[in-house]
Amino acid sequence: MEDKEIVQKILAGDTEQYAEIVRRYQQIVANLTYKLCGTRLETEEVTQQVFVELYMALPRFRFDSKLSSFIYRITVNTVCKMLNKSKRYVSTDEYETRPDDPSPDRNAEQEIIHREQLEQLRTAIGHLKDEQRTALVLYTFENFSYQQIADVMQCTLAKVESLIFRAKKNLAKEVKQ
Amino acid sequence: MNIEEQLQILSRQTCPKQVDVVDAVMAQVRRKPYLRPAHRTALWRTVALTAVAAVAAVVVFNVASFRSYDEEGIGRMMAYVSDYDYYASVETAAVNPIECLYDDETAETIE
Repeated sequence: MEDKEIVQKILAGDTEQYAEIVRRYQQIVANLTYKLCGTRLETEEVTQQVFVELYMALPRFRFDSKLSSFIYRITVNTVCKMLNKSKRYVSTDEYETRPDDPSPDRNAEQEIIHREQLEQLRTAIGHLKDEQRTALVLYTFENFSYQQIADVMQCTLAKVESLIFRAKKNLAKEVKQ
Repeated sequence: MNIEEQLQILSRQTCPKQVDVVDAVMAQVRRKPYLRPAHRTALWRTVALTAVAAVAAVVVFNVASFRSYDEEGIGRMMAYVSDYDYYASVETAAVNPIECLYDDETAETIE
Protein backbone atom coordinates (compact mmCIF):
# COMPACT_ATOMS: atom_id res chain seq x y z
CA MET A 1 0.00 0.00 0.00
CA GLU A 2 1.31 3.48 -0.84
CA ASP A 3 1.96 6.15 1.76
CA LYS A 4 -0.88 8.28 0.41
CA GLU A 5 -3.43 5.50 0.86
CA ILE A 6 -2.26 4.82 4.39
CA VAL A 7 -2.45 8.50 5.32
CA GLN A 8 -5.97 8.73 3.90
CA LYS A 9 -7.04 5.72 5.98
CA ILE A 10 -5.54 7.25 9.12
CA LEU A 11 -7.32 10.53 8.46
CA ALA A 12 -10.55 8.62 7.95
CA GLY A 13 -10.19 7.22 11.46
CA ASP A 14 -8.17 4.01 11.09
CA THR A 15 -5.52 5.03 13.62
CA GLU A 16 -3.87 1.60 13.72
CA GLN A 17 -2.55 2.14 10.18
CA TYR A 18 -0.15 4.67 11.64
CA ALA A 19 2.02 1.79 12.89
CA GLU A 20 2.91 1.06 9.25
CA ILE A 21 4.10 4.63 8.70
CA VAL A 22 6.23 4.42 11.85
CA ARG A 23 7.64 1.06 10.73
CA ARG A 24 8.56 2.44 7.30
CA TYR A 25 10.22 5.66 8.42
CA GLN A 26 11.56 5.05 11.93
CA GLN A 27 15.07 4.17 10.73
CA ILE A 28 15.32 7.23 8.48
CA VAL A 29 14.10 9.51 11.27
CA ALA A 30 16.36 7.87 13.86
CA ASN A 31 19.44 8.22 11.67
CA LEU A 32 18.81 11.88 10.94
CA THR A 33 17.97 12.59 14.58
CA TYR A 34 21.11 10.81 15.67
CA LYS A 35 23.28 12.85 13.32
CA LEU A 36 21.60 16.10 14.34
CA CYS A 37 21.64 15.66 18.10
CA GLY A 38 24.59 13.30 18.41
CA THR A 39 23.55 11.19 21.37
CA ARG A 40 22.22 7.67 21.15
CA LEU A 41 20.24 8.08 24.37
CA GLU A 42 18.20 11.02 23.11
CA THR A 43 17.77 9.61 19.61
CA GLU A 44 15.09 7.11 20.60
CA GLU A 45 13.21 9.66 22.70
CA VAL A 46 13.32 12.31 19.97
CA THR A 47 12.34 9.77 17.29
CA GLN A 48 9.22 8.94 19.29
CA GLN A 49 8.49 12.64 19.69
CA VAL A 50 8.88 13.16 15.93
CA PHE A 51 6.28 10.49 15.19
CA VAL A 52 3.84 11.89 17.73
CA GLU A 53 4.27 15.36 16.17
CA LEU A 54 3.86 13.84 12.71
CA TYR A 55 0.62 12.18 13.75
CA MET A 56 -0.74 15.48 15.03
CA ALA A 57 0.41 17.24 11.83
CA LEU A 58 -1.01 14.68 9.37
CA PRO A 59 -4.23 16.65 8.73
CA ARG A 60 -1.98 19.47 7.42
CA PHE A 61 -0.27 17.16 4.90
CA ARG A 62 -1.41 18.26 1.45
CA PHE A 63 -0.22 15.28 -0.67
CA ASP A 64 1.49 17.69 -3.10
CA SER A 65 4.92 16.62 -1.84
CA LYS A 66 6.35 13.31 -0.70
CA LEU A 67 5.50 12.11 2.79
CA SER A 68 9.24 11.59 3.35
CA SER A 69 9.90 15.35 2.79
CA PHE A 70 7.16 16.18 5.28
CA ILE A 71 8.69 13.75 7.79
CA TYR A 72 12.17 15.24 7.29
CA ARG A 73 10.75 18.71 7.92
CA ILE A 74 9.07 17.63 11.14
CA THR A 75 12.23 15.81 12.25
CA VAL A 76 14.40 18.89 11.69
CA ASN A 77 11.89 21.15 13.48
CA THR A 78 11.50 18.78 16.43
CA VAL A 79 15.26 18.36 16.88
CA CYS A 80 15.86 22.14 16.65
CA LYS A 81 13.06 22.77 19.14
CA MET A 82 14.52 20.20 21.51
CA LEU A 83 18.04 21.66 21.19
CA ASN A 84 16.78 25.21 21.75
CA LYS A 85 14.87 24.06 24.81
CA SER A 86 17.85 22.36 26.37
CA LYS A 87 20.21 25.11 25.09
CA ARG A 88 23.13 22.77 24.79
CA TYR A 89 25.89 22.03 22.36
CA VAL A 90 25.53 18.95 20.28
CA SER A 91 28.14 16.41 21.12
CA THR A 92 28.96 14.44 18.02
CA ASP A 93 31.76 12.76 19.98
CA GLU A 94 29.18 10.10 20.66
CA TYR A 95 28.83 9.23 16.98
CA GLU A 96 29.33 5.54 16.80
CA THR A 97 31.75 4.99 13.97
CA ARG A 98 33.13 2.03 12.19
CA PRO A 99 36.85 2.29 11.54
CA ASP A 100 37.85 3.56 8.16
CA ASP A 101 39.93 1.13 6.12
CA PRO A 102 43.56 2.08 6.63
CA SER A 103 44.87 3.66 3.50
CA PRO A 104 47.91 1.94 1.97
CA ASP A 105 49.25 5.43 1.23
CA ARG A 106 49.41 6.36 4.92
CA ASN A 107 51.98 5.15 7.40
CA ALA A 108 51.14 4.57 11.09
CA GLU A 109 51.89 8.16 12.08
CA GLN A 110 49.78 9.59 9.29
CA GLU A 111 47.01 7.21 10.25
CA ILE A 112 46.96 8.59 13.82
CA ILE A 113 46.90 12.17 12.52
CA HIS A 114 44.08 11.24 10.17
CA ARG A 115 41.98 9.85 13.05
CA GLU A 116 42.69 12.87 15.19
CA GLN A 117 41.52 15.13 12.38
CA LEU A 118 38.25 13.24 12.16
CA GLU A 119 37.76 13.51 15.92
CA GLN A 120 38.32 17.27 15.70
CA LEU A 121 35.87 17.47 12.83
CA ARG A 122 33.19 15.64 14.83
CA THR A 123 33.62 18.06 17.73
CA ALA A 124 33.54 21.03 15.35
CA ILE A 125 30.26 19.84 13.80
CA GLY A 126 28.77 19.82 17.28
CA HIS A 127 29.80 23.44 17.78
CA LEU A 128 28.07 24.70 14.61
CA LYS A 129 24.88 26.73 14.84
CA ASP A 130 21.74 24.58 14.58
CA GLU A 131 20.80 25.84 11.10
CA GLN A 132 24.31 25.38 9.71
CA ARG A 133 24.64 21.89 11.19
CA THR A 134 21.21 20.85 9.88
CA ALA A 135 22.01 22.00 6.34
CA LEU A 136 25.45 20.39 6.45
CA VAL A 137 24.16 17.06 7.81
CA LEU A 138 21.40 16.90 5.21
CA TYR A 139 23.87 17.74 2.42
CA THR A 140 26.84 15.63 3.46
CA PHE A 141 25.37 12.72 5.41
CA GLU A 142 21.97 12.36 3.75
CA ASN A 143 23.09 13.39 0.22
CA PHE A 144 20.22 15.87 -0.16
CA SER A 145 20.27 18.37 -3.02
CA TYR A 146 20.17 22.10 -2.19
CA GLN A 147 16.56 22.20 -3.37
CA GLN A 148 15.56 19.32 -1.08
CA ILE A 149 17.29 21.02 1.86
CA ALA A 150 15.47 24.27 1.06
CA ASP A 151 12.16 22.37 1.07
CA VAL A 152 12.90 20.65 4.37
CA MET A 153 14.21 23.78 6.10
CA GLN A 154 11.59 25.99 4.44
CA CYS A 155 14.06 28.59 3.27
CA THR A 156 15.48 29.85 -0.01
CA LEU A 157 18.09 28.11 -2.12
CA ALA A 158 20.45 31.02 -1.57
CA LYS A 159 20.17 30.64 2.18
CA VAL A 160 20.98 26.93 1.96
CA GLU A 161 24.07 27.69 -0.12
CA SER A 162 25.12 30.31 2.37
CA LEU A 163 24.51 28.01 5.38
CA ILE A 164 26.58 25.19 3.90
CA PHE A 165 29.35 27.55 2.82
CA ARG A 166 29.54 29.12 6.28
CA ALA A 167 29.35 25.72 7.98
CA LYS A 168 32.34 24.45 5.99
CA LYS A 169 34.24 27.68 6.62
CA ASN A 170 33.62 27.44 10.37
CA LEU A 171 34.62 23.78 10.41
CA ALA A 172 37.84 24.54 8.56
CA LYS A 173 38.60 27.36 11.00
CA GLU A 174 37.94 25.22 14.07
CA VAL A 175 39.82 22.20 12.80
CA LYS A 176 42.90 24.34 12.00
CA GLN A 177 43.05 25.78 15.54
CA MET B 1 42.97 16.52 3.13
CA ASN B 2 40.33 19.21 2.88
CA ILE B 3 37.12 19.53 4.90
CA GLU B 4 34.89 18.06 2.22
CA GLU B 5 36.96 14.88 1.98
CA GLN B 6 37.00 14.55 5.76
CA LEU B 7 33.22 15.00 5.87
CA GLN B 8 32.80 12.26 3.29
CA ILE B 9 34.91 9.90 5.38
CA LEU B 10 32.97 10.78 8.52
CA SER B 11 29.71 10.21 6.66
CA ARG B 12 30.85 6.74 5.58
CA GLN B 13 32.03 5.88 9.07
CA THR B 14 28.96 6.95 11.03
CA CYS B 15 26.93 3.87 11.87
CA PRO B 16 23.18 3.95 11.53
CA LYS B 17 21.24 3.89 14.75
CA GLN B 18 18.83 0.95 15.06
CA VAL B 19 15.56 1.76 16.82
CA ASP B 20 12.12 0.24 17.25
CA VAL B 21 9.66 2.83 18.47
CA VAL B 22 6.47 1.44 16.90
CA ASP B 23 4.88 0.23 20.15
CA ALA B 24 5.87 3.32 22.13
CA VAL B 25 4.53 5.67 19.45
CA MET B 26 1.29 3.76 18.99
CA ALA B 27 0.70 3.78 22.75
CA GLN B 28 0.99 7.59 22.74
CA VAL B 29 -1.09 7.97 19.59
CA ARG B 30 -3.93 5.89 21.05
CA ARG B 31 -3.92 8.09 24.16
CA LYS B 32 -4.32 11.35 22.26
CA PRO B 33 -6.34 11.02 19.09
CA TYR B 34 -6.33 14.28 17.21
CA LEU B 35 -9.37 16.16 15.99
CA ARG B 36 -9.95 14.76 12.51
CA PRO B 37 -10.81 17.12 9.64
CA ALA B 38 -14.46 16.04 9.56
CA HIS B 39 -14.83 16.73 13.29
CA ARG B 40 -13.00 20.01 12.95
CA THR B 41 -15.31 21.16 10.16
CA ALA B 42 -18.34 20.21 12.24
CA LEU B 43 -16.95 22.10 15.22
CA TRP B 44 -16.31 25.24 13.17
CA ARG B 45 -19.78 25.00 11.63
CA THR B 46 -21.34 24.81 15.10
CA VAL B 47 -19.30 27.77 16.35
CA ALA B 48 -20.21 29.86 13.27
CA LEU B 49 -23.92 29.01 13.50
CA THR B 50 -23.99 29.80 17.23
CA ALA B 51 -22.33 33.17 16.60
CA VAL B 52 -24.75 34.04 13.78
CA ALA B 53 -27.75 32.98 15.89
CA ALA B 54 -26.52 35.08 18.84
CA VAL B 55 -26.04 38.19 16.65
CA ALA B 56 -29.47 37.67 15.06
CA ALA B 57 -31.11 37.31 18.49
CA VAL B 58 -29.52 40.55 19.72
CA VAL B 59 -30.63 42.43 16.58
CA VAL B 60 -34.21 41.11 16.80
CA PHE B 61 -34.42 41.93 20.50
CA ASN B 62 -33.14 45.48 19.96
CA VAL B 63 -35.49 46.16 17.05
CA ALA B 64 -38.44 44.80 19.01
CA SER B 65 -37.66 46.87 22.12
CA PHE B 66 -37.10 49.97 20.02
CA ARG B 67 -40.47 49.51 18.34
CA SER B 68 -42.38 49.03 21.61
CA TYR B 69 -40.53 51.92 23.18
CA ASP B 70 -41.30 54.03 20.16
CA GLU B 71 -45.01 53.29 20.24
CA GLU B 72 -45.38 53.72 24.00
CA GLY B 73 -43.06 56.69 24.13
CA ILE B 74 -44.80 58.66 21.41
CA GLY B 75 -48.21 57.99 23.04
CA ARG B 76 -46.93 59.11 26.43
CA MET B 77 -45.34 62.22 24.97
CA MET B 78 -48.51 63.20 23.11
CA ALA B 79 -50.56 62.85 26.31
CA TYR B 80 -48.04 64.91 28.25
CA VAL B 81 -47.98 67.67 25.62
CA SER B 82 -51.78 67.90 25.49
CA ASP B 83 -52.02 67.96 29.34
CA TYR B 84 -49.40 70.64 29.50
CA ASP B 85 -51.23 72.78 26.96
CA TYR B 86 -54.47 72.38 28.89
CA TYR B 87 -53.06 73.37 32.30
CA ALA B 88 -51.00 76.15 30.82
CA SER B 89 -54.05 77.70 29.21
CA VAL B 90 -56.10 77.41 32.45
CA GLU B 91 -53.37 78.96 34.57
CA THR B 92 -52.74 81.79 32.12
CA ALA B 93 -56.38 82.70 32.01
CA ALA B 94 -57.24 82.48 35.74
CA VAL B 95 -54.21 83.55 37.66
CA ASN B 96 -52.10 86.63 37.60
CA PRO B 97 -48.56 85.33 37.95
CA ILE B 98 -47.62 88.15 40.35
CA GLU B 99 -50.34 87.10 42.78
CA CYS B 100 -48.84 83.71 42.91
CA LEU B 101 -45.68 84.93 44.61
CA TYR B 102 -45.86 84.27 48.34
CA ASP B 103 -43.59 85.28 51.18
CA ASP B 104 -42.62 81.98 52.78
CA GLU B 105 -42.33 83.45 56.30
CA THR B 106 -45.55 85.44 56.45
CA ALA B 107 -47.47 83.34 53.97
CA GLU B 108 -48.77 86.50 52.44
CA THR B 109 -48.99 87.33 48.83
CA ILE B 110 -46.33 89.70 47.67
CA GLU B 111 -47.84 92.51 45.71
